[in-house]
Amino acid sequence: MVFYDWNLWDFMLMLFVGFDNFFVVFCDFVFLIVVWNFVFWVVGLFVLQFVIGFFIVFVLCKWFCFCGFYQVLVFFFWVVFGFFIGMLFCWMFNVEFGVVNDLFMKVGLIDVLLLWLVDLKFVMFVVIVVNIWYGVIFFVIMIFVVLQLVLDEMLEVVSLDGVGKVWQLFLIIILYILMMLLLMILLCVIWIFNFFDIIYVMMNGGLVNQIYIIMMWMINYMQQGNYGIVSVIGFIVVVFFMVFCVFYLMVMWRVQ
Amino acid sequence: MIIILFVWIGFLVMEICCIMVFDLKVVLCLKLCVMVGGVVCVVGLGLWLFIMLFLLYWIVFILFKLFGIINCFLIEYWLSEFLLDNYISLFEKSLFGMFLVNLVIVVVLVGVVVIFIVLFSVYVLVWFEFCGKGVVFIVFLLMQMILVFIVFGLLYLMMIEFGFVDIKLGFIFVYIVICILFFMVMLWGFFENVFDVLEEVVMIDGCLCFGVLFWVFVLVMIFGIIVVFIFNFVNCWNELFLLVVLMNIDVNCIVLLVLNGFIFMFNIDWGFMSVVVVLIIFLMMVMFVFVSCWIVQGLMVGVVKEQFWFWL
Repeated sequence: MVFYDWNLWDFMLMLFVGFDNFFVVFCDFVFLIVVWNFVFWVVGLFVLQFVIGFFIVFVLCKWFCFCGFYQVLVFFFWVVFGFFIGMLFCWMFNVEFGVVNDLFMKVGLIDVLLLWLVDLKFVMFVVIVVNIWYGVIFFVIMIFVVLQLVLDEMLEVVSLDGVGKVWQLFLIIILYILMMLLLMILLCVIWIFNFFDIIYVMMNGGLVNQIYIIMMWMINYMQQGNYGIVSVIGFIVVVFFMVFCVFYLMVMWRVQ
Repeated sequence: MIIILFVWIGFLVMEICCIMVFDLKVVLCLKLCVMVGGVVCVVGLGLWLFIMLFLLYWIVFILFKLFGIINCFLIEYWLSEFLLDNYISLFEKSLFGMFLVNLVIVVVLVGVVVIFIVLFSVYVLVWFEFCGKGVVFIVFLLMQMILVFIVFGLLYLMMIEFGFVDIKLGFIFVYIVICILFFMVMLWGFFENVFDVLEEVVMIDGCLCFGVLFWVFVLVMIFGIIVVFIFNFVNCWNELFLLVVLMNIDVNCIVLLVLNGFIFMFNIDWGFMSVVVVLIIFLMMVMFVFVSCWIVQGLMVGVVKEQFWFWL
């Protein structure tokens, strides 16, 4: 399909166009925006979710009042439809009748209504925040599981030697679970890449393509019925991720 | 190692600064750090809890409001009157009960079939020696990178040919095919942790392959299998794009499509949407109270996935 002008509205006219579809994609003015947004999206989401996930796990490891209730709440929002979460936050960040603006005004944080989902300064920030809030649960579960590998006895021995908590974290725990952590990182990156419901629902190609990530760009072409171009974008993405995956696995192998 | 070095230097500098600027002893500095850390933890958890509870409250709050009042400029945070119109209308005007049953049928069927297929496949892949086992694992992992919606157009045409469009069976069939690889990779790690000796002992006692699978692996891996089922359940539960492509008829409709149907060109019917979500949230909450502890317990079974790297 990559080399054909394959249009959903006209199956009979499937012309061989060679590399023309590739030229169309690479010469599109949206291409660079999409690539930048995509990198920003994946890296930003991954780093923040990882850090926040680690923080939540460390806090949840210790027993405190209503710990069980808290865990149920944290895990439970994971099964609410991502699609609905996107819609709900979209409404809450609405300029006129959104709760966020109203609450911020009442608290005195802002004087004028902020255009959360219209202003380019805020849009990516809002979408990433919502995605972090929803997606961090997956990270929490994965990190929680990986941390179970660390033996209590080992930490006790180290603490008897006078090693502080911070050093225990960086020199013992992280080094000990490094391999599992690396594998987990790969799975999480795949998950971030495949989960785009929220950004799709919240933005739906708005702001004159300025907020597109690759999947939304692809869906846009799909809605136009242009499967030749869709295939090219898909092909580029798959090749990129396969190369990334192979390199990543090779690095892991070396580390091992 | 470089990151750790930087972190170490950072802490060292922080410690020296504390001693020099505040003229405090190291112990006091550490106590201060612990205190600050505790405050950050409490504030962070509190904020997180507030957002979650507020969202729950807001969803339930919408449920009792009429459509005209929901989108108004003067936002109300308290209910002046409880109206159950949205709830009654949903059950009177739509086949919501049936949609919910459809969802449960699809999700459970997909889960059961996927686990059944994956169990056999992984058993063969893990316990029978053959060349290129590591390559198979890498291929499975790489296959996760292929996006399903690239082939939506072709898939739709193919499903029309088979007569699988607009029926539950079509969605079930496609979703099973999509899920199998991911859960094979997941269960592979779980199976690796079962000791060889266990299998040998059972075989000496006269158990055949199927017996070993069901009387040893399934029983030992029961939490892992439950986790796979839950993961599958959640993924299938959240699948919207595939549903939009494959389902168009009311009788076979599934809840998520109903939600999608509440979105109109210039408006969204928040009242109905909220009723649907509250009902589903209630069901899920009941389920999660029971299974949340199993998730971690089950995932624990498969933690030694790093064994894969010895094969490469």
